[in-house]
Amino acid sequence: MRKNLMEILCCPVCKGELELTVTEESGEEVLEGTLRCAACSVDYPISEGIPNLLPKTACED
Amino acid sequence: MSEDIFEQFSGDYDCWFEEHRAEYRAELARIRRLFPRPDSRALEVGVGSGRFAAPLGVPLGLEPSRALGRMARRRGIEVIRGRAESIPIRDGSCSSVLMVTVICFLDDPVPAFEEIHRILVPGGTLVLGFIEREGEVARKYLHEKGKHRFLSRARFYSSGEVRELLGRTGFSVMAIDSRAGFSVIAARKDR
Repeated sequence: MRKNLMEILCCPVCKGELELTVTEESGEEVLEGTLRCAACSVDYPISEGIPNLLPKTACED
Repeated sequence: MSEDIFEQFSGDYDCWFEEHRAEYRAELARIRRLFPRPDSRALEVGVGSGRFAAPLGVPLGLEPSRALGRMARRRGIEVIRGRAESIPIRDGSCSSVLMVTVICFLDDPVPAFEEIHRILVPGGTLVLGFIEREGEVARKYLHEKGKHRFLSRARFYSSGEVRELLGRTGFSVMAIDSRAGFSVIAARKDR
């Protein structure tokens, strides 16, 4: 995913802000990393450039 | 859930478009007529393998299946893995939304329509393509082995039912192209 996608992304559950942590990138493209919803205490992974924002709750972790 | 079947048979799903090129092109042409020129904030919900988003120039796709989402990404679409009923996109962020042959796989289309309404800008457009209940396409596919795998658990709606659900979720219908059991509806977010 491109970093500027952060402008429109939000938590699928509470619609609050997500915090991006990048572990692998290529220019503007995030390949691996995490999107964290602090309000829900849930981490959503970014894998092979695709953020996985299927809704989940903290108890599923 | 029906999406498991897309994960498991993603290759078969994508091949359908090659094996049924005439039907695919006809659906694509009909959607193109009603879909406004997509800009950088256009989204396809249930982008699948990107067979509609890529030729139409829709830059962004939401897709629950990992396997199909990877195919769409290889076709140049920015893919977000997620569900139509819980879209991970902020209010008023999208200019237009496309959704083709998706509502038949949802438990209930209403939460998806509500989410699409939320993410659209005021006056934004939703274009829906769907197989009509008891129409020509639904009857044909139910007798066809390949597509049966995907459609056997599908729930089809009449054009009137879909229009009623759109009205209930804050959309006004702008245009309808209902032919041969496949409907394309363009609706605008008007409140």
